[in-house]
Amino acid sequence: MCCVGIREDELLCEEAAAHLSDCCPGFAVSSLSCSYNSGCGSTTYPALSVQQSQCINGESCAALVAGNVCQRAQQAHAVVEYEASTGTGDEEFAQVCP
Amino acid sequence: MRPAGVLAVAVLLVSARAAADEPTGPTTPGAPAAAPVENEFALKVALGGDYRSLYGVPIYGGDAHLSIGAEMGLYAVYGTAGLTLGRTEYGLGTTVIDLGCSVERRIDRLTIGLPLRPSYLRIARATTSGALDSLGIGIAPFVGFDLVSSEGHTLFLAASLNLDEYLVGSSSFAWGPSLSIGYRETE
Repeated sequence: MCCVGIREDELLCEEAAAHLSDCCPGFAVSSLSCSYNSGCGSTTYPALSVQQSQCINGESCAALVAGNVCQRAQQAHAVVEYEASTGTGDEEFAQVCP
Repeated sequence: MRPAGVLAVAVLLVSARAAADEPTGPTTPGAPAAAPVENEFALKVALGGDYRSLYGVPIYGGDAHLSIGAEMGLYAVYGTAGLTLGRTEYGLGTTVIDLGCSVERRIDRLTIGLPLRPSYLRIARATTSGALDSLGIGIAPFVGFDLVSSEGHTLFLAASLNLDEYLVGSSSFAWGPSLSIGYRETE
């Protein structure tokens, strides 16, 4: 099926996931959610915000490991916004990097 | 105006200016008329290296393009098809398929051209087996230089700037240069 579109937050999250997978021993890349979905009264955002993903993509492997970014990213979960709530801000995303 | 629009206008203006500077044929009464311009079937193949940036994510790739068209004196029109395979900086696989048309203008050994091309971009995900993909429209103004030419066979270099707007879902703009080497045959 074509096409899902290319969102900035999804692409940067996927790129960060690939970087983490290369850098972090034992990183389970499939457990990180980088998908955006909207419908049925809720919207799901990637677990890593644009800013967090850019931070990860700008770090070396050594810095990611030394700064425990690998562990925090592994525990990050998708942010879900419900229609009744008043919007998402970056504060709702896990602080993963630096 | 976006960079794509500025470049498109610039290429067209240069082409129009060059056409205006051409001699329009003999004006002396009794002089022989200029030979009519012949249309020639033409085929081009080209291989290149690409760099693109999408949301600041660098994409490196290699491309192959096939063009079939007609050479009409100093002008040419082609239909084009291309495939670009690449990877992002951290290894997400990318595929671009483009189909379009191109108008070109020859100036001695130089060629300037303006392909207009719808394209499909697919970027593999790292977290699932799925992909991010979209359809877009773009232009790729280029300058070519004929390295060797003999009896309808030409080896050329071309440098182009790829400017593509992807339109499905949230709009996204990809841009970047490419350098290619190609072969052109006319008959």
